[in-house]
Amino acid sequence: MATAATRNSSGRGSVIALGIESTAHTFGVGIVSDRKPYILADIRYKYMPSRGGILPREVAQYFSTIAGRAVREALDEAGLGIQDLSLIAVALGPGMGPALRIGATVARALSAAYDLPLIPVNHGIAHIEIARFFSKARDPVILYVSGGTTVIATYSYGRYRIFGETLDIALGNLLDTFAREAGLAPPYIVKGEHVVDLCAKGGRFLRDFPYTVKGQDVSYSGLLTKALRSLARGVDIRDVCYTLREIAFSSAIEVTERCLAHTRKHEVILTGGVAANPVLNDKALRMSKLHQAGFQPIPRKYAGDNGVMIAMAGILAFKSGLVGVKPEDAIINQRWRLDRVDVAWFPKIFGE
Amino acid sequence: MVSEDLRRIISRITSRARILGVGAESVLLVAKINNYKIILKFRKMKPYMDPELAKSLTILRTIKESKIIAIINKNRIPSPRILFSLPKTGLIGMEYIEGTTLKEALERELVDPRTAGRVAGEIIGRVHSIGIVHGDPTTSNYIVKNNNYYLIDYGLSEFSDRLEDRAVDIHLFRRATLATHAKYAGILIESFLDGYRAALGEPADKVIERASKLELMGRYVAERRTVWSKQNYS
Repeated sequence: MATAATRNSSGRGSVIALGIESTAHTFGVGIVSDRKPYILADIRYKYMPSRGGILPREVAQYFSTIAGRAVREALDEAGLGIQDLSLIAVALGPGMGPALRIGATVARALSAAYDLPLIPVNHGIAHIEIARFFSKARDPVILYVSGGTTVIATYSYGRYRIFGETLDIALGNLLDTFAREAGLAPPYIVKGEHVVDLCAKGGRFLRDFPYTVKGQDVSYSGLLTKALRSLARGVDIRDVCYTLREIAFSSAIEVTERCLAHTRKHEVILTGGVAANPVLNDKALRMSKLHQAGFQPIPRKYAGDNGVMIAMAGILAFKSGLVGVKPEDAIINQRWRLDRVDVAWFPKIFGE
Repeated sequence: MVSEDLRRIISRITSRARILGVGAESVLLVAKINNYKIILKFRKMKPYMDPELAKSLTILRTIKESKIIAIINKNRIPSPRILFSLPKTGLIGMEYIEGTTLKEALERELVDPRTAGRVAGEIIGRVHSIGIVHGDPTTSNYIVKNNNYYLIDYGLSEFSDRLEDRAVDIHLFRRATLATHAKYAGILIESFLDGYRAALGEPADKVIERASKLELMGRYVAERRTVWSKQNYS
Protein backbone atom coordinates (compact mmCIF):
# COMPACT_ATOMS: atom_id res chain seq x y z
CA MET A 1 0.00 0.00 0.00
CA ALA A 2 1.29 3.41 -0.93
CA THR A 3 1.77 5.79 1.93
CA ALA A 4 -0.40 8.83 2.16
CA ALA A 5 2.59 11.02 1.47
CA THR A 6 3.22 9.43 -1.88
CA ARG A 7 -0.49 9.40 -2.61
CA ASN A 8 -0.90 13.07 -2.07
CA SER A 9 2.26 15.08 -1.84
CA SER A 10 4.31 13.73 -4.70
CA GLY A 11 4.73 15.70 -7.89
CA ARG A 12 1.84 17.98 -8.67
CA GLY A 13 -0.52 17.02 -5.85
CA SER A 14 -1.19 19.37 -3.00
CA VAL A 15 -0.33 18.54 0.61
CA ILE A 16 -3.38 18.29 2.82
CA ALA A 17 -3.09 18.08 6.60
CA LEU A 18 -5.53 17.40 9.37
CA GLY A 19 -4.40 19.26 12.48
CA ILE A 20 -5.53 18.53 16.00
CA GLU A 21 -5.38 21.08 18.80
CA SER A 22 -6.12 20.13 22.41
CA THR A 23 -3.66 21.98 24.62
CA ALA A 24 -6.16 23.96 26.69
CA HIS A 25 -9.90 24.64 26.53
CA THR A 26 -10.37 24.22 22.78
CA PHE A 27 -10.53 20.94 20.92
CA GLY A 28 -9.89 21.98 17.35
CA VAL A 29 -9.68 20.04 14.14
CA GLY A 30 -8.48 21.92 11.08
CA ILE A 31 -7.97 20.70 7.56
CA VAL A 32 -5.56 22.73 5.50
CA SER A 33 -4.15 22.49 2.00
CA ASP A 34 -0.85 24.06 0.92
CA ARG A 35 -2.74 25.46 -2.08
CA LYS A 36 -5.53 28.01 -2.20
CA PRO A 37 -8.00 28.30 -0.59
CA TYR A 38 -5.74 26.84 2.15
CA ILE A 39 -8.31 26.47 4.92
CA LEU A 40 -10.72 23.63 4.10
CA ALA A 41 -12.23 22.99 7.52
CA ASP A 42 -12.12 24.56 10.96
CA ILE A 43 -14.06 22.78 13.69
CA ARG A 44 -13.79 23.88 17.30
CA TYR A 45 -15.32 22.67 20.51
CA LYS A 46 -14.64 24.94 23.43
CA TYR A 47 -14.99 23.84 27.02
CA MET A 48 -16.82 26.45 29.08
CA PRO A 49 -16.95 25.98 32.82
CA SER A 50 -20.30 27.03 34.31
CA ARG A 51 -18.41 28.51 37.23
CA GLY A 52 -14.82 29.07 38.31
CA GLY A 53 -11.81 28.25 36.16
CA ILE A 54 -10.77 25.36 33.95
CA LEU A 55 -9.96 22.00 35.52
CA PRO A 56 -7.72 19.85 33.30
CA ARG A 57 -9.56 16.65 34.19
CA GLU A 58 -12.95 18.08 33.27
CA VAL A 59 -11.61 19.44 30.00
CA ALA A 60 -10.21 16.04 29.09
CA GLN A 61 -13.50 14.39 29.88
CA TYR A 62 -15.34 16.85 27.67
CA PHE A 63 -12.79 16.44 24.85
CA SER A 64 -13.11 12.68 24.90
CA THR A 65 -16.86 12.96 24.28
CA ILE A 66 -16.58 15.28 21.25
CA ALA A 67 -13.23 14.32 19.67
CA GLY A 68 -14.60 11.73 17.24
CA ARG A 69 -17.43 14.01 16.20
CA ALA A 70 -15.01 16.91 15.60
CA VAL A 71 -12.85 14.85 13.23
CA ARG A 72 -15.93 13.64 11.34
CA GLU A 73 -17.32 17.17 11.03
CA ALA A 74 -14.01 18.52 9.79
CA LEU A 75 -13.81 15.93 7.02
CA ASP A 76 -17.42 16.66 6.07
CA GLU A 77 -16.80 20.40 6.02
CA ALA A 78 -13.79 19.89 3.76
CA GLY A 79 -15.69 17.39 1.64
CA LEU A 80 -12.81 14.97 1.96
CA GLY A 81 -12.28 11.40 3.04
CA ILE A 82 -9.40 10.31 5.20
CA GLN A 83 -7.72 8.84 2.10
CA ASP A 84 -7.37 12.39 0.74
CA LEU A 85 -5.13 13.48 3.60
CA SER A 86 -1.33 13.65 3.35
CA LEU A 87 -0.59 13.81 7.06
CA ILE A 88 -1.87 14.20 10.59
CA ALA A 89 -0.45 17.10 12.63
CA VAL A 90 -0.95 17.23 16.37
CA ALA A 91 -0.10 19.74 19.07
CA LEU A 92 1.91 17.76 21.62
CA GLY A 93 2.59 20.73 23.91
CA PRO A 94 2.90 22.89 25.80
CA GLY A 95 -0.39 22.62 27.63
CA MET A 96 -2.42 20.68 30.14
CA GLY A 97 -1.48 16.99 30.29
CA PRO A 98 -4.94 15.43 30.42
CA ALA A 99 -6.18 17.65 27.57
CA LEU A 100 -3.08 17.04 25.42
CA ARG A 101 -3.47 13.29 25.82
CA ILE A 102 -6.88 13.29 24.12
CA GLY A 103 -5.57 15.04 21.00
CA ALA A 104 -2.47 12.85 20.96
CA THR A 105 -4.54 9.68 21.27
CA VAL A 106 -6.82 10.64 18.40
CA ALA A 107 -3.84 11.60 16.23
CA ARG A 108 -1.96 8.38 16.96
CA ALA A 109 -5.02 6.33 16.17
CA LEU A 110 -5.66 8.10 12.84
CA SER A 111 -2.01 7.86 11.85
CA ALA A 112 -1.75 4.18 12.71
CA ALA A 113 -5.08 3.13 11.23
CA TYR A 114 -4.70 5.00 7.94
CA ASP A 115 -0.92 4.88 7.58
CA LEU A 116 -0.54 8.65 7.60
CA PRO A 117 2.64 10.48 8.62
CA LEU A 118 2.28 11.89 12.13
CA ILE A 119 3.83 15.32 12.58
CA PRO A 120 4.26 16.67 16.14
CA VAL A 121 3.64 20.40 16.37
CA ASN A 122 4.58 22.86 19.09
CA HIS A 123 1.48 24.89 19.93
CA GLY A 124 3.42 28.17 20.22
CA ILE A 125 5.15 27.69 16.88
CA ALA A 126 1.72 27.10 15.33
CA HIS A 127 0.44 30.42 16.74
CA ILE A 128 3.45 32.19 15.22
CA GLU A 129 3.09 30.53 11.82
CA ILE A 130 -0.60 31.31 11.42
CA ALA A 131 0.10 34.94 12.32
CA ARG A 132 2.92 35.07 9.77
CA PHE A 133 0.58 33.51 7.22
CA PHE A 134 -2.12 36.17 7.64
CA SER A 135 0.23 39.14 8.05
CA LYS A 136 2.85 38.01 5.50
CA ALA A 137 5.43 39.28 8.01
CA ARG A 138 8.59 37.42 7.10
CA ASP A 139 10.88 38.07 10.06
CA PRO A 140 8.79 39.79 12.72
CA VAL A 141 9.13 40.54 16.38
CA ILE A 142 6.42 38.39 17.91
CA LEU A 143 4.25 39.16 20.91
CA TYR A 144 2.52 35.92 21.81
CA VAL A 145 -0.12 36.44 24.46
CA SER A 146 -2.71 33.96 25.66
CA GLY A 147 -4.17 32.50 28.81
CA GLY A 148 -1.00 30.64 29.64
CA THR A 149 1.70 32.47 27.70
CA THR A 150 3.29 35.91 27.53
CA VAL A 151 6.35 35.72 25.33
CA ILE A 152 8.28 38.16 23.17
CA ALA A 153 10.18 36.16 20.58
CA THR A 154 11.97 36.59 17.31
CA TYR A 155 13.86 34.40 14.88
CA SER A 156 17.61 33.91 15.06
CA TYR A 157 19.87 31.07 13.97
CA GLY A 158 17.36 28.37 13.18
CA ARG A 159 14.87 29.00 15.94
CA TYR A 160 12.40 31.46 17.39
CA ARG A 161 14.31 32.82 20.38
CA ILE A 162 12.64 34.13 23.50
CA PHE A 163 13.67 37.73 24.09
CA GLY A 164 11.42 38.36 27.05
CA GLU A 165 8.55 36.81 28.91
CA THR A 166 6.48 37.04 32.04
CA LEU A 167 8.26 36.28 35.28
CA ASP A 168 5.07 35.02 36.87
CA ILE A 169 1.52 34.81 35.48
CA ALA A 170 0.50 35.19 31.83
CA LEU A 171 -1.43 38.16 30.47
CA GLY A 172 -4.60 36.16 29.71
CA ASN A 173 -4.41 34.51 33.09
CA LEU A 174 -4.12 37.94 34.74
CA LEU A 175 -7.29 39.21 33.03
CA ASP A 176 -9.24 36.00 33.62
CA THR A 177 -8.20 35.59 37.23
CA PHE A 178 -9.07 39.18 37.98
CA ALA A 179 -12.43 38.86 36.23
CA ARG A 180 -13.25 35.72 38.15
CA GLU A 181 -12.14 37.05 41.55
CA ALA A 182 -13.99 40.32 40.93
CA GLY A 183 -17.18 38.42 40.14
CA LEU A 184 -17.25 39.55 36.50
CA ALA A 185 -16.82 36.05 35.06
CA PRO A 186 -17.60 33.42 33.86
CA PRO A 187 -18.49 33.94 31.07
CA TYR A 188 -15.18 35.64 30.28
CA ILE A 189 -16.20 36.84 26.84
CA VAL A 190 -19.51 38.64 26.29
CA LYS A 191 -20.53 39.57 22.74
CA GLY A 192 -16.96 39.16 21.56
CA GLU A 193 -15.46 41.37 24.25
CA HIS A 194 -13.58 40.38 27.34
CA VAL A 195 -15.47 41.34 30.50
CA VAL A 196 -12.47 43.38 31.68
CA ASP A 197 -12.70 45.46 28.47
CA LEU A 198 -16.44 45.97 28.95
CA CYS A 199 -15.89 47.00 32.53
CA ALA A 200 -12.99 49.34 31.65
CA LYS A 201 -15.25 51.58 29.57
CA GLY A 202 -15.38 54.98 31.20
CA GLY A 203 -12.63 54.01 33.63
CA ARG A 204 -9.86 56.40 34.61
CA PHE A 205 -6.19 55.77 35.25
CA LEU A 206 -5.27 55.10 38.88
CA ARG A 207 -1.84 56.30 39.85
CA ASP A 208 -0.49 53.89 42.40
CA PHE A 209 -0.65 50.56 40.51
CA PRO A 210 2.68 48.77 39.98
CA TYR A 211 4.16 48.81 36.48
CA THR A 212 6.83 46.13 36.33
CA VAL A 213 9.20 45.79 33.41
CA LYS A 214 12.56 44.32 34.35
CA GLY A 215 14.90 44.59 31.40
CA GLN A 216 13.15 42.36 28.89
CA ASP A 217 10.64 40.72 31.18
CA VAL A 218 7.27 41.69 32.58
CA SER A 219 5.66 40.74 35.87
CA TYR A 220 1.94 40.76 36.58
CA SER A 221 1.39 39.18 39.99
CA GLY A 222 1.89 42.44 41.91
CA LEU A 223 -0.57 44.16 39.59
CA LEU A 224 -3.20 41.48 40.20
CA THR A 225 -2.80 41.72 43.96
CA LYS A 226 -3.04 45.51 43.84
CA ALA A 227 -6.16 45.40 41.66
CA LEU A 228 -7.95 42.95 43.94
CA ARG A 229 -6.99 44.91 47.06
CA SER A 230 -8.25 48.12 45.51
CA LEU A 231 -11.58 46.48 44.77
CA ALA A 232 -11.84 45.26 48.34
CA ARG A 233 -11.20 48.82 49.50
CA GLY A 234 -14.12 50.03 47.41
CA VAL A 235 -12.31 51.69 44.50
CA ASP A 236 -14.54 52.05 41.39
CA ILE A 237 -14.29 48.77 39.47
CA ARG A 238 -14.23 50.60 36.12
CA ASP A 239 -11.08 52.46 37.15
CA VAL A 240 -9.51 49.25 38.41
CA CYS A 241 -10.28 47.39 35.16
CA TYR A 242 -9.01 50.26 33.02
CA THR A 243 -5.77 50.64 34.97
CA LEU A 244 -5.12 46.90 35.16
CA ARG A 245 -5.54 46.53 31.40
CA GLU A 246 -3.60 49.69 30.61
CA ILE A 247 -0.57 48.62 32.63
CA ALA A 248 -0.67 44.98 31.57
CA PHE A 249 -0.89 45.77 27.85
CA SER A 250 1.54 48.70 27.92
CA SER A 251 4.26 46.71 29.64
CA ALA A 252 3.95 43.81 27.18
CA ILE A 253 4.12 46.28 24.28
CA GLU A 254 7.07 48.06 25.85
CA VAL A 255 9.11 44.85 25.96
CA THR A 256 8.11 44.20 22.35
CA GLU A 257 9.39 47.68 21.55
CA ARG A 258 12.70 46.94 23.27
CA CYS A 259 13.05 43.79 21.21
CA LEU A 260 12.30 45.73 18.03
CA ALA A 261 14.88 48.40 18.88
CA HIS A 262 17.54 45.86 19.84
CA THR A 263 17.12 43.61 16.81
CA ARG A 264 16.32 46.42 14.35
CA LYS A 265 13.70 44.29 12.66
CA HIS A 266 10.89 45.85 10.65
CA GLU A 267 7.74 43.90 11.42
CA VAL A 268 5.61 43.17 14.46
CA ILE A 269 2.95 40.50 14.92
CA LEU A 270 0.56 39.67 17.72
CA THR A 271 -0.71 36.15 18.22
CA GLY A 272 -2.46 34.00 20.83
CA GLY A 273 -5.91 34.39 22.37
CA VAL A 274 -5.30 37.88 23.79
CA ALA A 275 -4.17 39.04 20.31
CA ALA A 276 -7.88 39.32 19.45
CA ASN A 277 -8.09 42.28 21.81
CA PRO A 278 -8.63 45.58 19.90
CA VAL A 279 -7.02 47.71 22.62
CA LEU A 280 -3.85 45.62 22.50
CA ASN A 281 -3.84 45.80 18.70
CA ASP A 282 -4.14 49.57 18.83
CA LYS A 283 -1.14 49.79 21.14
CA ALA A 284 0.89 47.45 18.93
CA LEU A 285 0.05 49.60 15.91
CA ARG A 286 1.07 52.85 17.61
CA MET A 287 4.31 51.33 18.85
CA SER A 288 5.12 49.89 15.42
CA LYS A 289 4.52 53.24 13.72
CA LEU A 290 6.92 54.88 16.14
CA HIS A 291 9.67 52.61 14.79
CA GLN A 292 8.47 52.59 11.17
CA ALA A 293 7.72 48.90 11.53
CA GLY A 294 4.89 47.08 9.77
CA PHE A 295 2.01 45.75 11.82
CA GLN A 296 -0.97 43.76 10.57
CA PRO A 297 -3.50 42.48 13.15
CA ILE A 298 -4.32 38.79 12.98
CA PRO A 299 -7.97 38.05 12.08
CA ARG A 300 -9.77 37.75 15.42
CA LYS A 301 -11.00 34.29 14.62
CA TYR A 302 -7.47 32.92 14.27
CA ALA A 303 -5.91 34.61 17.29
CA GLY A 304 -7.08 31.93 19.70
CA ASP A 305 -6.48 28.17 19.67
CA ASN A 306 -7.58 26.24 16.59
CA GLY A 307 -6.73 23.15 14.57
CA VAL A 308 -5.99 25.13 11.40
CA MET A 309 -2.75 26.56 12.80
CA ILE A 310 -1.61 23.09 13.87
CA ALA A 311 -2.22 21.77 10.34
CA MET A 312 -0.33 24.74 8.84
CA ALA A 313 2.69 24.26 11.10
CA GLY A 314 2.52 20.52 10.36
CA ILE A 315 2.66 21.14 6.61
CA LEU A 316 5.59 23.56 6.99
CA ALA A 317 7.54 20.98 8.98
CA PHE A 318 6.56 18.14 6.65
CA LYS A 319 7.59 20.02 3.52
CA SER A 320 10.89 21.04 5.11
CA GLY A 321 11.76 17.36 5.40
CA LEU A 322 10.31 16.17 8.69
CA VAL A 323 9.05 12.68 7.93
CA GLY A 324 7.03 12.33 11.10
CA VAL A 325 7.21 10.14 14.16
CA LYS A 326 5.93 6.69 14.94
CA PRO A 327 2.64 6.76 16.82
CA GLU A 328 4.30 5.33 19.93
CA ASP A 329 6.85 8.17 19.83
CA ALA A 330 4.25 10.93 19.70
CA ILE A 331 4.64 11.76 23.37
CA ILE A 332 3.07 14.86 24.87
CA ASN A 333 5.30 17.47 26.48
CA GLN A 334 3.49 19.81 28.85
CA ARG A 335 6.46 22.18 29.03
CA TRP A 336 7.67 22.17 25.47
CA ARG A 337 9.24 25.59 24.98
CA LEU A 338 8.97 27.06 21.52
CA ASP A 339 12.68 27.94 21.51
CA ARG A 340 13.45 24.23 21.48
CA VAL A 341 12.06 23.75 18.00
CA ASP A 342 14.26 23.96 14.90
CA VAL A 343 12.22 25.86 12.34
CA ALA A 344 13.94 24.54 9.23
CA TRP A 345 11.35 26.15 6.93
CA PHE A 346 12.13 29.72 8.04
CA PRO A 347 11.93 32.29 6.37
CA LYS A 348 9.27 30.56 4.30
CA ILE A 349 5.70 31.47 5.17
CA PHE A 350 2.87 28.94 4.96
CA GLY A 351 1.35 28.88 1.46
CA GLU A 352 4.59 29.75 -0.32
CA MET B 1 13.18 73.53 41.30
CA VAL B 2 14.50 74.49 37.95
CA SER B 3 14.41 78.16 37.23
CA GLU B 4 12.86 79.61 34.10
CA ASP B 5 16.30 80.83 33.11
CA LEU B 6 17.71 77.35 33.12
CA ARG B 7 14.75 76.08 31.12
CA ARG B 8 15.33 78.77 28.53
CA ILE B 9 19.01 78.00 28.34
CA ILE B 10 18.30 74.30 27.94
CA SER B 11 15.74 74.83 25.23
CA ARG B 12 18.24 77.00 23.35
CA ILE B 13 20.91 74.32 23.67
CA THR B 14 18.50 71.61 22.61
CA SER B 15 17.45 73.44 19.50
CA ARG B 16 21.04 73.42 18.26
CA ALA B 17 21.88 69.87 19.28
CA ARG B 18 22.61 67.06 16.86
CA ILE B 19 21.26 63.54 17.22
CA LEU B 20 23.81 60.99 18.36
CA GLY B 21 21.53 57.98 18.58
CA VAL B 22 17.95 56.79 18.92
CA GLY B 23 17.02 53.86 21.12
CA ALA B 24 13.87 52.22 22.42
CA GLU B 25 14.00 54.38 25.53
CA SER B 26 15.40 57.67 24.49
CA VAL B 27 17.03 59.99 22.00
CA LEU B 28 20.62 61.03 22.64
CA LEU B 29 21.69 64.49 21.52
CA VAL B 30 25.04 66.23 21.59
CA ALA B 31 25.04 69.94 22.29
CA LYS B 32 27.73 72.53 22.84
CA ILE B 33 27.93 75.13 25.58
CA ASN B 34 30.83 77.40 24.75
CA ASN B 35 33.39 74.73 23.96
CA TYR B 36 32.05 72.19 26.38
CA LYS B 37 30.16 69.32 24.75
CA ILE B 38 27.28 67.77 26.65
CA ILE B 39 24.96 64.84 26.11
CA LEU B 40 21.21 65.35 26.35
CA LYS B 41 19.22 62.21 26.97
CA PHE B 42 15.53 62.62 26.16
CA ARG B 43 13.10 59.98 27.32
CA LYS B 44 10.27 59.84 24.87
CA MET B 45 6.68 59.75 26.05
CA LYS B 46 5.27 56.44 24.89
CA PRO B 47 2.43 57.29 22.52
CA TYR B 48 0.79 53.90 23.02
CA MET B 49 0.22 54.41 26.73
CA ASP B 50 -2.38 56.29 28.68
CA PRO B 51 -0.87 59.80 28.88
CA GLU B 52 -0.87 59.69 32.66
CA LEU B 53 0.98 56.39 32.68
CA ALA B 54 3.45 57.56 30.04
CA LYS B 55 4.09 60.76 31.95
CA SER B 56 4.57 59.10 35.30
CA LEU B 57 6.93 56.48 33.84
CA THR B 58 8.98 59.18 32.14
CA ILE B 59 9.23 61.16 35.35
CA LEU B 60 9.98 58.20 37.61
CA ARG B 61 12.55 56.69 35.27
CA THR B 62 14.28 60.02 34.71
CA ILE B 63 14.45 60.59 38.46
CA LYS B 64 15.75 57.09 39.10
CA GLU B 65 18.40 57.26 36.42
CA SER B 66 19.51 60.70 37.62
CA LYS B 67 19.78 59.47 41.20
CA ILE B 68 21.75 56.44 40.15
CA ILE B 69 24.18 58.46 38.04
CA ALA B 70 24.61 60.92 40.91
CA ILE B 71 25.49 58.07 43.29
CA ILE B 72 27.82 56.55 40.70
CA ASN B 73 29.52 59.97 40.35
CA LYS B 74 29.73 60.44 44.10
CA ASN B 75 31.47 57.09 44.46
CA ARG B 76 33.91 58.10 41.74
CA ILE B 77 33.03 55.20 39.52
CA PRO B 78 34.21 56.25 36.05
CA SER B 79 31.10 57.43 34.23
CA PRO B 80 29.88 60.64 32.64
CA ARG B 81 28.99 63.20 35.29
CA ILE B 82 25.38 64.27 35.50
CA LEU B 83 24.91 68.00 34.96
CA PHE B 84 21.18 68.49 35.34
CA SER B 85 17.90 66.62 35.21
CA LEU B 86 14.41 67.76 34.22
CA PRO B 87 12.16 64.82 35.11
CA LYS B 88 8.97 66.40 33.76
CA THR B 89 10.62 66.87 30.40
CA GLY B 90 12.31 63.47 30.60
CA LEU B 91 15.66 65.14 30.09
CA ILE B 92 19.05 64.40 31.61
CA GLY B 93 22.16 66.46 30.80
CA MET B 94 25.50 64.73 31.11
CA GLU B 95 29.15 65.25 30.40
CA TYR B 96 30.08 64.00 26.91
CA ILE B 97 32.97 61.58 26.95
CA GLU B 98 34.22 61.63 23.42
CA GLY B 99 35.89 58.28 22.97
CA THR B 100 35.16 55.01 21.25
CA THR B 101 32.94 52.27 22.57
CA LEU B 102 34.76 49.31 24.04
CA LYS B 103 33.10 47.19 21.38
CA GLU B 104 34.72 49.24 18.64
CA ALA B 105 38.04 49.50 20.47
CA LEU B 106 38.19 45.70 20.71
CA GLU B 107 37.19 45.21 17.11
CA ARG B 108 39.86 47.65 15.95
CA GLU B 109 42.36 46.11 18.37
CA LEU B 110 43.01 49.44 20.03
CA VAL B 111 42.98 47.86 23.49
CA ASP B 112 44.37 44.73 25.05
CA PRO B 113 41.44 42.37 25.71
CA ARG B 114 42.87 41.16 28.99
CA THR B 115 43.20 44.67 30.40
CA ALA B 116 39.84 45.69 28.93
CA GLY B 117 38.04 42.73 30.48
CA ARG B 118 39.63 43.31 33.84
CA VAL B 119 38.77 47.00 33.98
CA ALA B 120 35.21 46.36 32.76
CA GLY B 121 34.78 43.74 35.49
CA GLU B 122 36.22 46.02 38.16
CA ILE B 123 33.78 48.75 37.24
CA ILE B 124 30.76 46.43 37.46
CA GLY B 125 32.10 45.09 40.76
CA ARG B 126 32.27 48.63 42.11
CA VAL B 127 28.75 49.39 40.85
CA HIS B 128 27.45 46.30 42.62
CA SER B 129 29.34 47.14 45.79
CA ILE B 130 27.28 50.31 46.22
CA GLY B 131 23.93 48.55 45.80
CA ILE B 132 23.29 49.20 42.11
CA VAL B 133 22.94 46.82 39.17
CA HIS B 134 23.53 48.15 35.68
CA GLY B 135 21.03 46.10 33.67
CA ASP B 136 22.78 46.27 30.29
CA PRO B 137 26.56 45.86 30.69
CA THR B 138 27.58 45.11 27.12
CA THR B 139 30.79 46.27 25.50
CA SER B 140 28.74 48.94 23.70
CA ASN B 141 28.11 50.53 27.08
CA TYR B 142 31.73 51.20 27.96
CA ILE B 143 33.58 54.15 26.49
CA VAL B 144 37.35 54.13 26.14
CA LYS B 145 39.13 57.47 26.07
CA ASN B 146 42.90 57.87 26.51
CA ASN B 147 43.05 54.39 28.01
CA ASN B 148 40.46 55.29 30.61
CA TYR B 149 37.26 53.27 30.73
CA TYR B 150 33.83 54.70 31.49
CA LEU B 151 30.54 52.91 32.06
CA ILE B 152 27.54 54.58 30.44
CA ASP B 153 23.75 54.25 30.11
CA TYR B 154 22.06 53.65 33.42
CA GLY B 155 18.66 53.57 31.74
CA LEU B 156 17.91 50.01 32.85
CA SER B 157 19.71 50.24 36.19
CA GLU B 158 18.13 49.40 39.51
CA PHE B 159 18.89 49.77 43.17
CA SER B 160 19.52 46.19 44.18
CA ASP B 161 21.96 44.05 46.08
CA ARG B 162 20.11 40.82 45.30
CA LEU B 163 22.23 37.93 44.17
CA GLU B 164 19.92 37.20 41.25
CA ASP B 165 20.02 40.77 39.88
CA ARG B 166 23.80 40.94 40.18
CA ALA B 167 24.11 37.57 38.46
CA VAL B 168 22.04 38.89 35.53
CA ASP B 169 24.65 41.63 34.94
CA ILE B 170 27.44 39.05 34.82
CA HIS B 171 25.37 36.81 32.62
CA LEU B 172 24.53 39.62 30.20
CA PHE B 173 28.17 40.66 29.85
CA ARG B 174 29.17 37.07 29.20
CA ARG B 175 26.42 36.47 26.68
CA ALA B 176 26.96 39.68 24.77
CA THR B 177 30.71 39.09 24.71
CA LEU B 178 30.36 35.57 23.35
CA ALA B 179 28.13 36.94 20.63
CA THR B 180 30.14 40.03 19.68
CA HIS B 181 33.76 39.21 20.42
CA ALA B 182 34.04 35.51 19.72
CA LYS B 183 37.77 35.83 19.01
CA TYR B 184 38.69 37.13 22.50
CA ALA B 185 35.62 35.98 24.40
CA GLY B 186 37.53 33.56 26.62
CA ILE B 187 40.15 36.12 27.69
CA LEU B 188 37.62 38.91 28.03
CA ILE B 189 35.25 36.96 30.24
CA GLU B 190 37.98 35.42 32.36
CA SER B 191 39.63 38.77 33.04
CA PHE B 192 36.21 40.39 33.53
CA LEU B 193 35.51 37.91 36.32
CA ASP B 194 38.97 38.52 37.83
CA GLY B 195 38.32 42.25 37.89
CA TYR B 196 34.85 41.70 39.28
CA ARG B 197 36.18 39.53 42.13
CA ALA B 198 38.90 42.05 42.91
CA ALA B 199 36.39 44.90 43.19
CA LEU B 200 33.50 43.20 44.96
CA GLY B 201 35.49 40.85 47.15
CA GLU B 202 34.01 37.84 48.85
CA PRO B 203 30.38 38.03 47.57
CA ALA B 204 31.63 37.83 43.97
CA ASP B 205 32.02 34.06 43.91
CA LYS B 206 28.39 33.46 44.81
CA VAL B 207 27.26 35.90 42.13
CA ILE B 208 29.43 34.20 39.51
CA GLU B 209 28.16 30.80 40.54
CA ARG B 210 24.59 32.05 40.24
CA ALA B 211 25.35 33.56 36.84
CA SER B 212 26.53 30.23 35.52
CA LYS B 213 23.29 28.67 36.73
CA LEU B 214 21.35 31.33 34.84
CA GLU B 215 22.89 30.00 31.65
CA LEU B 216 21.21 26.71 32.27
CA MET B 217 17.85 28.04 33.34
CA GLY B 218 15.08 28.21 30.81
CA ARG B 219 14.50 31.89 31.28
CA TYR B 220 17.89 32.87 30.01
CA VAL B 221 18.70 30.07 27.64
CA ALA B 222 17.31 31.99 24.72
CA GLU B 223 19.43 34.80 23.43
CA ARG B 224 18.08 38.13 24.50
CA ARG B 225 20.35 40.72 22.96
CA THR B 226 20.94 42.44 19.69
CA VAL B 227 23.57 40.05 18.55
CA TRP B 228 22.71 36.43 18.82
CA SER B 229 25.08 33.78 19.99
CA LYS B 230 25.70 30.65 18.00
CA GLN B 231 26.91 28.86 21.09
CA ASN B 232 23.39 28.80 22.30
CA TYR B 233 21.63 26.29 20.17
CA SER B 234 20.03 23.74 22.38
